Amino acid sequence: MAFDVQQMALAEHYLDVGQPERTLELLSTADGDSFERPDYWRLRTAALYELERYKEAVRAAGEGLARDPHWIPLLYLRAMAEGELDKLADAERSILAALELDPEDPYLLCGYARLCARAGQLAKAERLVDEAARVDPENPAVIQMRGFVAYLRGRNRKAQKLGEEALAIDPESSSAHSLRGAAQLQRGDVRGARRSFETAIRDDPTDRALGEAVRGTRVATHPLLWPVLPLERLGVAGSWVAAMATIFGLRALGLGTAAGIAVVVWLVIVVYSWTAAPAAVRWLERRQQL
Amino acid sequence: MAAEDLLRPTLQEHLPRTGVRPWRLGSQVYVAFFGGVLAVTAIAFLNAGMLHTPARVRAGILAFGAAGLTAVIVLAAVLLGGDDVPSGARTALTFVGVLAWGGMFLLQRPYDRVYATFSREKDPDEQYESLIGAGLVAVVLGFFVQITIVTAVAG
Repeated sequence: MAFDVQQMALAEHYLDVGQPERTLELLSTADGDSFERPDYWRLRTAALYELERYKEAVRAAGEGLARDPHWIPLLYLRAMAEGELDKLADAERSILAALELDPEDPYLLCGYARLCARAGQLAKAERLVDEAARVDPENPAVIQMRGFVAYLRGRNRKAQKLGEEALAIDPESSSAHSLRGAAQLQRGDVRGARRSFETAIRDDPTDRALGEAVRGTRVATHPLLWPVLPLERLGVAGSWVAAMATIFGLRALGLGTAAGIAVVVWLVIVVYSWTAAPAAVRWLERRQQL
Repeated sequence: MAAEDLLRPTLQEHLPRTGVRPWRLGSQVYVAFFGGVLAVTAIAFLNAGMLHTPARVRAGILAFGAAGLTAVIVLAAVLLGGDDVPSGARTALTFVGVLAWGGMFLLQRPYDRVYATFSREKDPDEQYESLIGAGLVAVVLGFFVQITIVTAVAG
Protein backbone atom coordinates (compact mmCIF):
# COMPACT_ATOMS: atom_id res chain seq x y z
CA MET A 1 0.00 0.00 0.00
CA ALA A 2 1.33 3.41 -0.91
CA PHE A 3 1.95 5.57 2.11
CA ASP A 4 0.83 9.01 1.02
CA VAL A 5 1.06 12.52 2.43
CA GLN A 6 -2.40 12.23 4.01
CA GLN A 7 -1.39 9.18 6.00
CA MET A 8 1.74 10.95 7.13
CA ALA A 9 -0.43 13.85 8.30
CA LEU A 10 -2.68 11.39 10.14
CA ALA A 11 0.35 9.82 11.83
CA GLU A 12 1.41 13.32 12.92
CA HIS A 13 -2.12 14.01 14.20
CA TYR A 14 -2.08 10.88 16.38
CA LEU A 15 1.17 12.10 17.86
CA ASP A 16 -0.31 15.54 18.53
CA VAL A 17 -3.32 14.09 20.36
CA GLY A 18 -1.21 11.82 22.55
CA GLN A 19 -1.75 8.52 20.73
CA PRO A 20 1.81 7.57 19.72
CA GLU A 21 0.96 3.85 19.57
CA ARG A 22 -1.48 4.60 16.71
CA THR A 23 1.24 6.62 14.98
CA LEU A 24 3.46 3.54 15.10
CA GLU A 25 0.64 1.29 13.86
CA LEU A 26 0.07 3.55 10.90
CA LEU A 27 3.78 3.87 10.13
CA SER A 28 4.12 0.09 10.18
CA THR A 29 1.99 -0.01 7.02
CA ALA A 30 4.44 2.20 5.14
CA ASP A 31 6.20 0.87 2.05
CA GLY A 32 9.84 0.98 0.94
CA ASP A 33 9.77 4.47 -0.55
CA SER A 34 8.55 6.01 2.71
CA PHE A 35 11.73 4.92 4.48
CA GLU A 36 13.63 7.46 2.39
CA ARG A 37 11.49 10.34 3.71
CA PRO A 38 12.98 12.10 6.76
CA ASP A 39 9.49 12.76 8.14
CA TYR A 40 8.84 9.04 8.39
CA TRP A 41 11.82 8.66 10.74
CA ARG A 42 10.97 11.83 12.65
CA LEU A 43 7.46 10.58 13.37
CA ARG A 44 8.68 7.10 14.24
CA THR A 45 11.37 8.46 16.58
CA ALA A 46 8.94 10.90 18.23
CA ALA A 47 6.33 8.17 18.77
CA LEU A 48 8.89 5.80 20.29
CA TYR A 49 10.16 8.65 22.48
CA GLU A 50 6.63 9.39 23.72
CA LEU A 51 6.19 5.72 24.54
CA GLU A 52 9.44 5.86 26.55
CA ARG A 53 11.03 3.28 24.22
CA TYR A 54 14.21 5.30 24.15
CA LYS A 55 16.65 2.70 22.79
CA GLU A 56 14.39 2.10 19.80
CA ALA A 57 13.98 5.87 19.40
CA VAL A 58 17.76 6.30 19.20
CA ARG A 59 17.95 3.52 16.60
CA ALA A 60 15.10 5.02 14.53
CA ALA A 61 16.74 8.45 14.62
CA GLY A 62 19.99 6.85 13.50
CA GLU A 63 18.21 5.26 10.52
CA GLY A 64 16.85 8.64 9.49
CA LEU A 65 20.15 10.43 10.03
CA ALA A 66 21.92 7.84 7.88
CA ARG A 67 19.78 9.19 5.05
CA ASP A 68 20.14 12.86 6.00
CA PRO A 69 22.78 13.64 8.66
CA HIS A 70 21.72 17.31 8.84
CA TRP A 71 18.04 16.78 9.67
CA ILE A 72 17.75 19.01 12.76
CA PRO A 73 14.49 17.57 14.22
CA LEU A 74 16.00 14.07 14.20
CA LEU A 75 19.24 15.26 15.78
CA TYR A 76 17.16 16.93 18.49
CA LEU A 77 15.00 13.86 19.10
CA ARG A 78 18.02 11.55 19.19
CA ALA A 79 19.67 13.86 21.74
CA MET A 80 16.57 13.83 23.94
CA ALA A 81 16.26 10.03 23.75
CA GLU A 82 19.96 9.58 24.53
CA GLY A 83 19.47 11.95 27.45
CA GLU A 84 16.68 9.76 28.83
CA LEU A 85 19.06 6.80 28.62
CA ASP A 86 21.54 8.87 30.67
CA LYS A 87 24.01 8.77 27.79
CA LEU A 88 24.70 12.46 28.15
CA ALA A 89 28.00 12.48 26.25
CA ASP A 90 26.24 11.03 23.16
CA ALA A 91 23.27 13.33 23.71
CA GLU A 92 25.52 16.37 23.84
CA ARG A 93 27.22 15.40 20.57
CA SER A 94 23.80 15.08 18.90
CA ILE A 95 22.44 18.39 20.19
CA LEU A 96 25.67 20.26 19.41
CA ALA A 97 25.56 18.87 15.86
CA ALA A 98 22.09 20.40 15.55
CA LEU A 99 23.17 23.68 17.18
CA GLU A 100 26.07 23.92 14.77
CA LEU A 101 23.47 24.03 11.99
CA ASP A 102 21.24 26.53 13.82
CA PRO A 103 22.89 28.08 16.90
CA GLU A 104 19.90 30.34 17.65
CA ASP A 105 17.11 27.79 17.58
CA PRO A 106 15.34 28.28 20.94
CA TYR A 107 14.13 24.66 21.07
CA LEU A 108 17.65 23.35 20.56
CA LEU A 109 18.99 25.72 23.21
CA CYS A 110 16.29 24.55 25.62
CA GLY A 111 17.04 20.93 24.75
CA TYR A 112 20.71 21.45 25.54
CA ALA A 113 19.71 23.21 28.76
CA ARG A 114 17.68 20.15 29.75
CA LEU A 115 20.69 17.87 29.18
CA CYS A 116 22.95 20.15 31.23
CA ALA A 117 20.34 20.29 34.00
CA ARG A 118 20.18 16.52 34.00
CA ALA A 119 23.95 16.43 34.59
CA GLY A 120 23.58 18.92 37.44
CA GLN A 121 25.16 21.76 35.42
CA LEU A 122 22.43 24.15 36.46
CA ALA A 123 24.36 27.39 35.97
CA LYS A 124 25.06 26.51 32.33
CA ALA A 125 21.46 25.35 31.87
CA GLU A 126 20.29 28.74 33.13
CA ARG A 127 22.58 30.60 30.72
CA LEU A 128 21.31 28.49 27.84
CA VAL A 129 17.66 29.24 28.62
CA ASP A 130 18.52 32.91 29.04
CA GLU A 131 20.04 32.79 25.55
CA ALA A 132 16.89 31.09 24.23
CA ALA A 133 14.80 33.82 25.88
CA ARG A 134 16.93 36.49 24.21
CA VAL A 135 16.16 34.89 20.83
CA ASP A 136 12.45 34.24 21.44
CA PRO A 137 11.21 35.79 24.70
CA GLU A 138 7.51 35.11 24.14
CA ASN A 139 7.87 31.44 23.26
CA PRO A 140 5.90 29.47 25.90
CA ALA A 141 8.29 26.51 25.62
CA VAL A 142 11.20 28.82 26.44
CA ILE A 143 9.32 30.42 29.34
CA GLN A 144 8.50 26.98 30.73
CA MET A 145 12.09 25.80 30.41
CA ARG A 146 13.28 28.92 32.25
CA GLY A 147 10.78 28.08 34.98
CA PHE A 148 11.92 24.47 35.07
CA VAL A 149 15.57 25.46 35.53
CA ALA A 150 14.57 28.01 38.19
CA TYR A 151 12.67 25.24 40.00
CA LEU A 152 15.69 22.93 39.92
CA ARG A 153 17.86 25.73 41.32
CA GLY A 154 15.43 26.13 44.23
CA ARG A 155 14.02 29.47 43.01
CA ASN A 156 10.43 28.52 43.64
CA ARG A 157 8.90 31.99 43.41
CA LYS A 158 10.50 32.63 40.02
CA ALA A 159 9.48 29.15 38.81
CA GLN A 160 5.85 29.76 39.79
CA LYS A 161 5.85 33.19 38.12
CA LEU A 162 7.23 31.73 34.88
CA GLY A 163 4.73 28.85 35.04
CA GLU A 164 1.94 31.43 35.29
CA GLU A 165 3.43 33.43 32.41
CA ALA A 166 3.43 30.31 30.25
CA LEU A 167 -0.18 29.60 31.25
CA ALA A 168 -1.21 33.13 30.32
CA ILE A 169 -0.04 32.35 26.77
CA ASP A 170 -1.23 28.75 26.68
CA PRO A 171 -3.81 28.02 29.42
CA GLU A 172 -4.15 24.39 28.33
CA SER A 173 -0.48 23.51 28.69
CA SER A 174 -0.17 20.43 30.88
CA SER A 175 3.54 20.96 31.47
CA ALA A 176 3.01 24.59 32.54
CA HIS A 177 0.34 23.49 35.05
CA SER A 178 2.75 20.84 36.25
CA LEU A 179 5.59 23.37 36.64
CA ARG A 180 3.35 25.77 38.57
CA GLY A 181 2.20 22.90 40.79
CA ALA A 182 5.75 21.82 41.59
CA ALA A 183 6.70 25.38 42.53
CA GLN A 184 3.52 25.85 44.59
CA LEU A 185 4.23 22.64 46.46
CA GLN A 186 7.75 23.75 47.34
CA ARG A 187 6.35 27.07 48.55
CA GLY A 188 3.93 25.26 50.84
CA ASP A 189 0.76 25.99 48.86
CA VAL A 190 -0.31 22.35 48.84
CA ARG A 191 -3.94 23.03 47.90
CA GLY A 192 -2.88 25.21 44.96
CA ALA A 193 -0.38 22.54 43.89
CA ARG A 194 -3.10 19.89 44.02
CA ARG A 195 -5.34 21.97 41.74
CA SER A 196 -2.47 22.52 39.29
CA PHE A 197 -1.50 18.84 39.21
CA GLU A 198 -5.12 17.71 38.81
CA THR A 199 -5.54 20.09 35.87
CA ALA A 200 -2.28 18.90 34.33
CA ILE A 201 -3.12 15.21 34.59
CA ARG A 202 -6.44 15.67 32.81
CA ASP A 203 -4.49 16.40 29.64
CA ASP A 204 -1.81 13.82 30.30
CA PRO A 205 -3.30 10.92 32.27
CA THR A 206 -0.43 8.53 31.47
CA ASP A 207 2.29 10.67 33.07
CA ARG A 208 3.56 8.62 36.03
CA ALA A 209 5.34 11.53 37.72
CA LEU A 210 2.19 13.63 37.57
CA GLY A 211 0.19 10.70 38.94
CA GLU A 212 2.51 10.53 41.94
CA ALA A 213 2.28 14.32 42.40
CA VAL A 214 -1.53 14.21 42.41
CA ARG A 215 -1.48 11.29 44.84
CA GLY A 216 0.99 13.09 47.15
CA THR A 217 -0.98 16.33 47.26
CA ARG A 218 -4.30 14.51 47.79
CA VAL A 219 -2.78 12.80 50.81
CA ALA A 220 -1.23 16.06 52.10
CA THR A 221 -4.56 17.92 51.86
CA HIS A 222 -6.57 15.15 53.56
CA PRO A 223 -8.36 16.41 56.73
CA LEU A 224 -6.23 14.09 58.87
CA LEU A 225 -3.19 16.12 57.86
CA TRP A 226 -4.76 19.57 58.25
CA PRO A 227 -3.09 20.10 61.66
CA VAL A 228 0.37 19.90 60.05
CA LEU A 229 -0.56 21.60 56.77
CA PRO A 230 0.56 25.10 57.93
CA LEU A 231 4.09 23.73 58.46
CA GLU A 232 4.32 23.08 54.71
CA ARG A 233 4.77 26.85 54.31
CA LEU A 234 8.03 26.66 56.24
CA GLY A 235 9.22 23.43 54.65
CA VAL A 236 11.06 20.67 56.49
CA ALA A 237 14.21 22.68 57.14
CA GLY A 238 12.34 25.84 58.12
CA SER A 239 10.02 23.97 60.49
CA TRP A 240 12.85 22.26 62.32
CA VAL A 241 15.00 25.38 62.59
CA ALA A 242 11.96 27.37 63.79
CA ALA A 243 11.10 24.70 66.36
CA MET A 244 14.65 24.51 67.65
CA ALA A 245 14.95 28.31 67.73
CA THR A 246 11.73 28.51 69.77
CA ILE A 247 12.89 25.86 72.23
CA PHE A 248 16.36 27.41 72.50
CA GLY A 249 14.87 30.88 72.88
CA LEU A 250 12.57 29.78 75.70
CA ARG A 251 15.48 28.08 77.47
CA ALA A 252 17.64 31.17 77.06
CA LEU A 253 14.87 33.25 78.62
CA GLY A 254 14.88 30.91 81.60
CA LEU A 255 11.44 29.53 80.72
CA GLY A 256 12.42 25.88 81.22
CA THR A 257 8.86 24.58 81.65
CA ALA A 258 7.63 26.35 78.52
CA ALA A 259 10.64 24.98 76.61
CA GLY A 260 9.83 21.47 77.86
CA ILE A 261 6.23 21.85 76.72
CA ALA A 262 7.47 23.12 73.33
CA VAL A 263 9.68 20.02 73.00
CA VAL A 264 6.76 17.72 73.75
CA VAL A 265 4.44 19.61 71.35
CA TRP A 266 7.05 19.48 68.61
CA LEU A 267 7.68 15.75 69.05
CA VAL A 268 3.91 15.11 69.02
CA ILE A 269 3.64 17.07 65.75
CA VAL A 270 6.50 15.05 64.23
CA VAL A 271 5.09 11.68 65.30
CA TYR A 272 1.59 12.74 64.21
CA SER A 273 2.84 13.69 60.75
CA TRP A 274 4.46 10.24 60.44
CA THR A 275 1.37 8.31 61.49
CA ALA A 276 -1.38 10.46 59.96
CA ALA A 277 0.02 10.26 56.42
CA PRO A 278 -0.23 6.43 56.10
CA ALA A 279 -3.70 6.60 57.70
CA ALA A 280 -4.76 9.20 55.11
CA VAL A 281 -3.41 6.97 52.31
CA ARG A 282 -5.44 3.99 53.57
CA TRP A 283 -8.53 6.22 53.91
CA LEU A 284 -8.22 7.55 50.36
CA GLU A 285 -7.44 4.11 48.91
CA ARG A 286 -10.54 2.63 50.54
CA ARG A 287 -12.61 5.36 48.87
CA GLN A 288 -10.70 4.87 45.60
CA GLN A 289 -9.66 8.52 45.60
CA LEU A 290 -6.00 7.77 44.94
CA MET B 1 29.98 33.40 29.28
CA ALA B 2 29.71 34.38 25.61
CA ALA B 3 27.13 32.62 23.43
CA GLU B 4 29.77 30.58 21.60
CA ASP B 5 31.26 29.42 24.90
CA LEU B 6 27.85 28.07 25.83
CA LEU B 7 28.12 25.63 22.95
CA ARG B 8 31.41 24.15 24.12
CA PRO B 9 30.92 20.53 25.22
CA THR B 10 30.83 20.00 28.98
CA LEU B 11 29.07 16.64 29.27
CA GLN B 12 31.71 14.41 27.68
CA GLU B 13 33.03 13.21 31.05
CA HIS B 14 29.56 12.47 32.40
CA LEU B 15 29.22 9.04 33.97
CA PRO B 16 25.81 7.37 33.96
CA ARG B 17 24.12 7.10 37.35
CA THR B 18 24.72 3.98 39.36
CA GLY B 19 21.79 2.23 41.02
CA VAL B 20 22.69 3.74 44.39
CA ARG B 21 19.74 5.62 45.83
CA PRO B 22 20.31 8.71 47.99
CA TRP B 23 18.58 9.52 51.28
CA ARG B 24 15.81 12.05 51.67
CA LEU B 25 17.11 15.47 52.66
CA GLY B 26 14.30 15.93 55.18
CA SER B 27 15.18 12.70 57.00
CA GLN B 28 18.69 13.97 57.68
CA VAL B 29 17.31 16.41 60.23
CA TYR B 30 16.63 13.53 62.63
CA VAL B 31 20.31 12.60 62.44
CA ALA B 32 21.19 16.23 63.24
CA PHE B 33 18.69 16.34 66.10
CA PHE B 34 19.68 13.09 67.79
CA GLY B 35 23.31 12.66 66.69
CA GLY B 36 24.62 16.21 66.46
CA VAL B 37 26.73 18.05 63.95
CA LEU B 38 29.33 15.34 63.27
CA ALA B 39 26.70 12.70 62.52
CA VAL B 40 24.76 14.87 60.11
CA THR B 41 27.93 16.06 58.38
CA ALA B 42 28.91 12.45 57.65
CA ILE B 43 25.45 11.59 56.32
CA ALA B 44 25.13 14.78 54.23
CA PHE B 45 28.63 14.29 52.79
CA LEU B 46 27.88 10.70 51.74
CA ASN B 47 24.52 11.75 50.34
CA ALA B 48 26.12 14.54 48.30
CA GLY B 49 28.31 11.88 46.69
CA MET B 50 25.26 9.76 45.85
CA LEU B 51 23.62 12.83 44.30
CA HIS B 52 26.73 13.38 42.11
CA THR B 53 27.18 16.93 43.38
CA PRO B 54 30.27 18.92 42.35
CA ALA B 55 33.26 18.92 44.72
CA ARG B 56 32.45 22.47 45.90
CA VAL B 57 29.13 21.27 47.36
CA ARG B 58 30.87 18.53 49.33
CA ALA B 59 33.48 21.08 50.45
CA GLY B 60 30.61 23.34 51.55
CA ILE B 61 29.10 20.54 53.61
CA LEU B 62 32.44 19.95 55.32
CA ALA B 63 32.73 23.70 55.94
CA PHE B 64 29.29 23.76 57.62
CA GLY B 65 30.35 20.71 59.63
CA ALA B 66 33.61 22.38 60.69
CA ALA B 67 31.78 25.58 61.61
CA GLY B 68 29.23 23.59 63.59
CA LEU B 69 31.92 21.64 65.42
CA THR B 70 33.73 24.89 66.25
CA ALA B 71 30.48 26.28 67.62
CA VAL B 72 29.97 23.13 69.70
CA ILE B 73 33.50 23.42 71.15
CA VAL B 74 33.07 27.12 71.92
CA LEU B 75 29.65 26.54 73.50
CA ALA B 76 31.01 23.62 75.51
CA ALA B 77 33.89 25.76 76.78
CA VAL B 78 31.62 28.71 77.64
CA LEU B 79 28.50 26.94 78.92
CA LEU B 80 29.91 23.79 80.47
CA GLY B 81 33.24 25.07 81.77
CA GLY B 82 32.20 25.73 85.35
CA ASP B 83 30.20 23.80 87.95
CA ASP B 84 27.01 25.71 87.16
CA VAL B 85 25.78 24.20 83.87
CA PRO B 86 22.99 26.31 82.34
CA SER B 87 19.77 24.46 81.66
CA GLY B 88 19.81 25.42 77.96
CA ALA B 89 23.28 23.96 77.26
CA ARG B 90 22.10 20.71 75.70
CA THR B 91 19.42 22.49 73.68
CA ALA B 92 22.08 24.89 72.38
CA LEU B 93 24.26 21.99 71.23
CA THR B 94 21.29 20.35 69.48
CA PHE B 95 20.40 23.68 67.89
CA VAL B 96 23.90 23.92 66.39
CA GLY B 97 23.45 20.51 64.73
CA VAL B 98 20.06 21.45 63.27
CA LEU B 99 21.35 24.82 62.11
CA ALA B 100 24.37 23.21 60.38
CA TRP B 101 22.00 20.75 58.72
CA GLY B 102 19.97 23.71 57.40
CA GLY B 103 23.02 24.90 55.45
CA MET B 104 23.79 21.38 54.23
CA PHE B 105 20.16 20.99 53.16
CA LEU B 106 20.34 24.13 51.01
CA LEU B 107 23.59 22.97 49.38
CA GLN B 108 22.17 19.56 48.47
CA ARG B 109 18.69 20.74 47.46
CA PRO B 110 19.25 21.61 43.74
CA TYR B 111 20.98 18.26 43.13
CA ASP B 112 18.28 16.41 45.03
CA ARG B 113 15.68 18.06 42.79
CA VAL B 114 17.64 17.11 39.69
CA TYR B 115 17.78 13.52 40.96
CA ALA B 116 14.08 13.37 41.83
CA THR B 117 13.00 15.04 38.58
CA PHE B 118 15.01 12.86 36.24
CA SER B 119 14.84 9.60 38.17
CA ARG B 120 13.25 6.77 36.17
CA GLU B 121 11.44 5.72 39.32
CA LYS B 122 8.59 8.17 39.89
CA ASP B 123 7.28 6.89 43.23
CA PRO B 124 9.10 8.95 45.90
CA ASP B 125 9.14 5.93 48.24
CA GLU B 126 11.09 3.99 45.63
CA GLN B 127 13.40 6.85 44.70
CA TYR B 128 15.09 7.07 48.08
CA GLU B 129 16.90 4.66 50.37
CA SER B 130 15.78 4.36 53.97
CA LEU B 131 18.05 6.29 56.33
CA ILE B 132 17.20 4.14 59.35
CA GLY B 133 20.29 1.89 59.30
CA ALA B 134 22.96 4.37 58.27
CA GLY B 135 21.27 7.12 60.27
CA LEU B 136 21.24 5.06 63.44
CA VAL B 137 24.95 4.23 63.08
CA ALA B 138 25.74 7.91 62.43
CA VAL B 139 23.64 9.01 65.41
CA VAL B 140 25.31 6.58 67.83
CA LEU B 141 28.87 7.23 66.62
CA GLY B 142 28.39 10.97 66.11
CA PHE B 143 26.75 11.40 69.50
CA PHE B 144 29.57 9.58 71.35
CA VAL B 145 32.35 11.38 69.51
CA GLN B 146 30.65 14.73 70.12
CA ILE B 147 30.02 13.97 73.79
CA THR B 148 33.68 12.94 74.15
CA ILE B 149 34.81 16.23 72.61
CA VAL B 150 32.38 18.24 74.75
CA THR B 151 33.47 16.42 77.92
CA ALA B 152 37.15 16.96 77.09
CA VAL B 153 36.61 20.67 76.39
CA ALA B 154 34.43 21.19 79.47
CA GLY B 155 37.15 19.31 81.34
